[in-house]
Amino acid sequence: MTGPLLRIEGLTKRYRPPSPLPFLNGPPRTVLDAASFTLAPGEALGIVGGSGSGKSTLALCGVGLLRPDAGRVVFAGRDVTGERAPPGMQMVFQDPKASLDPRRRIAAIVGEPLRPAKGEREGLVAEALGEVGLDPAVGGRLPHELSGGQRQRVAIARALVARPRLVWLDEPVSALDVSVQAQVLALLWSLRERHGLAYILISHDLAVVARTTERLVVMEGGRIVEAGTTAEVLARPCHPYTQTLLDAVLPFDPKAAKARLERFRRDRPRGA
Amino acid sequence: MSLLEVRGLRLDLPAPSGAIRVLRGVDLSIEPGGSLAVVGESGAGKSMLALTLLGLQPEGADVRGSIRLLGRECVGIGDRAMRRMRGGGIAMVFQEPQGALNPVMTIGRQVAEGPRRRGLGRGAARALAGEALARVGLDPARYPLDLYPHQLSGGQRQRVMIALCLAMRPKLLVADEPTTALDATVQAGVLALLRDLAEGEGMGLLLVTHDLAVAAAMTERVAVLYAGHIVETGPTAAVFARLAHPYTRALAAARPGLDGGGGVPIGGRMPSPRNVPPGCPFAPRCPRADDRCRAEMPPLAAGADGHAVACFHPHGRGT
Repeated sequence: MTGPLLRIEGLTKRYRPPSPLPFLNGPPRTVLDAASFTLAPGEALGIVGGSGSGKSTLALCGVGLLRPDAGRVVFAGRDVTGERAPPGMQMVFQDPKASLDPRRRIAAIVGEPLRPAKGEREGLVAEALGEVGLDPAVGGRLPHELSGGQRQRVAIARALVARPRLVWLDEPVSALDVSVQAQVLALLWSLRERHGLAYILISHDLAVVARTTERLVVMEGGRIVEAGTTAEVLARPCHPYTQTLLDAVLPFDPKAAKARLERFRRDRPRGA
Repeated sequence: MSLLEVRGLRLDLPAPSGAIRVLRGVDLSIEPGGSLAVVGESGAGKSMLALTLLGLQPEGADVRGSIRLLGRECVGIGDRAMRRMRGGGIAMVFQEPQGALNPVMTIGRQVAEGPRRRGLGRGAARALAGEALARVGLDPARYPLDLYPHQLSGGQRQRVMIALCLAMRPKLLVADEPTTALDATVQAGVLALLRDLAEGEGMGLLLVTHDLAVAAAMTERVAVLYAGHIVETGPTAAVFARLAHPYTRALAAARPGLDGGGGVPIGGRMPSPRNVPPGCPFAPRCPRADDRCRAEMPPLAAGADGHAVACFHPHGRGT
């Protein structure tokens, strides 16, 4: 297929701030403001921004869990705006503890996106578990019997079992240890190489997307403020907010890290 | 006199299938106003170590060894004596401020609660709370004392948590992953604040983190904890310059860098504290391990610069 796999066109979402008296509602707050980008088949895109930047809202509108107030989501040539998890598209959330049903066995959780009639269900579940580096025997266990990293792998296996072409991942590693983070990120990259899977990786941490994405979108206050190839944006950030995010990644060298912290202590905003 | 002196600290948790050995002989010390980072993966025992220092280990836990805080022994002194130590002697900032703060109590009352229990009058405690909140960047002029936690952002809630400790004027602040639940840009602000307070108040800082870069930025000394053992410790600069223990080195390589480097997963998994193999606990995952490593635990051997490594085959400088 030629052309983009995903086209996000002017997605906008507004919320009304809650008020004790309905008629006193303030003006709606725009949390996502005309966001647009495209994604090629098999491409890895990073979306970075702080809390409140609209990155999670963008993902929820993108997979149809939220209906946008304006704009379109075009997936594989079809308008899927507001359609819940259209075929070929999946999502992985930040906290696997919250997104996996604690009472269901792993095999049932992973098999969820498969149609009930599908005969080779068991085989597909075992294959998906194997792909994320889990022993298929894990299928008989319950989520609480697994570690945080294993649970996030289960969430990824569930997203992969129906062979999607695109997976949105909202902060998939920020609840995980550095060493487990590395495992999950390496896994994503290898799935992309093996299956041509396209993914959108959302994070507040630029170091997380530096290695695992080809293109980068930077969001602030609901708007896309910078976009480009990951290498370009990291080497030559144009927007001041991108620079702020870059500065927030502490260097590994103790001297450089302490110097960076000194700078924060001199000119940090109070009470932020 | 050391601010904190921990010797041979062991912690076993009772379980039907036999004791879970969480801490297996931990030594560490912090001088007055000094700072130490305890680094390791989840399951290494870092949080349990922090809780044990405050006497907050789970009920029924078997604690052995010695914890001397300001020269006073804290192991086996009982709840009442330990409660007196907490606050003025030692205080703790938890990872999740949401869970640690009371959602139905104003921030002013929560910060004032500790001083009130020490017998301070209501007005004086409230004034002290206002002062502590101002010190953490929540000026009562802009953030009134009668705000509730849910009216604040995650970073601001963590600042309230720090103010709560600060109001007790502790000599040692224990912070367990204080910024892990926060955004990268907010994290920098909270770390800067902790550093300010440690220096400004002459407070000792024990920081628990899984992120080596946070340790690099924040502390003078670092201790790497693995499966309940300290496997490497010393001045932060020396430890980072050499990364002598294969585990420390693997942890450093796992961390993704902005240059696209790093991100190398550590193969295998930490042994379960229910079933600890003999020898070095890292041996099953270690590229340098031999038969001796699998049979006996290497002692934590200190060099001249105070840099100590528990490994039979440590990396030298540049290797």
